[in-house]
Amino acid sequence: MAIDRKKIIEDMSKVKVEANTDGLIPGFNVLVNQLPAHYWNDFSRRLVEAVPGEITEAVEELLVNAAHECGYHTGYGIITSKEWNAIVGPMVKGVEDVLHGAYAVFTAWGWADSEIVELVPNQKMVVRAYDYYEADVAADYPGRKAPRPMAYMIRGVTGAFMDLGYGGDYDPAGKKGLYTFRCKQTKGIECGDKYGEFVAVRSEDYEKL
Amino acid sequence: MEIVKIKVLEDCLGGGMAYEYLLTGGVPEELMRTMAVEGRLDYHPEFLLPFYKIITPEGLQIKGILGDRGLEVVYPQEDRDRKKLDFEVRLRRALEGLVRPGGGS
Repeated sequence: MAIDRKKIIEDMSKVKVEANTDGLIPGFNVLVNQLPAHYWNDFSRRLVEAVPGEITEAVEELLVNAAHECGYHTGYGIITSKEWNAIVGPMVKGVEDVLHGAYAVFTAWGWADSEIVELVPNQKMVVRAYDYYEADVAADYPGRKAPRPMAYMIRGVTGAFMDLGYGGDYDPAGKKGLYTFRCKQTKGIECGDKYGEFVAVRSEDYEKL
Repeated sequence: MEIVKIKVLEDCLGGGMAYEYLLTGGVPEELMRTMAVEGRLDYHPEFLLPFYKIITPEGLQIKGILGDRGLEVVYPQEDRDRKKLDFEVRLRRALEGLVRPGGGS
């Protein structure tokens, strides 16, 4: 059975995610949150803008790393969850199916309407996102256009998903398997492009991008 | 049917919050409905595999797939040990009470 993206999105959207009696939202073996997109966008934008220009890139990398680590553990939680097993599991025949399925889930949960447009197993993945909350940061800039790509979450998560696919066995401590891939954002809706584009390659090839 | 194994799920939830209960057989619909008594049952037979999620009045989140031997329980922090003990007692009772085809139990 091939990956049926439409059915995954339709079914996964029916699964209710809600706070427990502690006021926490346990999901996929992590605690997820539900906050206005503006909160996170503002958090990232203020961090990036609060530092001198020469360390802006370093701060951006830290935001990407945060998403990369979070995406590694949450991503593993997703692909081993009961929800996944019920909705996506029967469609999966190999690693590539897991990745395609993961972006369908990513879309269903409202993180980004995204899909894989190119996948070279164990080497490279190109993801396009046609709508994502991080693009809303553009509203805080003159002309509603961000000065550079700012979808740190999708960048980090895209690297993490490749780690989960091709970086070896999952390591709960994150000492092995994490950062075998890195991702660069090459296009962004926040910069005026029609879609966001994210290219993940093996870490040793990242500087060549 | 019996509980074979109770496994703490590796997570970053603060430890000891989520458990997987492995049973000797697959979870039948009767057990799912028994666990959901007084709670809320979200049942999705239209998924490729029939998925259920139960929220109990005590705040437990129970989820799994019908016919699957494992079920996952996330406990709230407050009074967790007592709630876990209570659930396990109720689960064992429910498993003992399951009627097998042919009238045995």
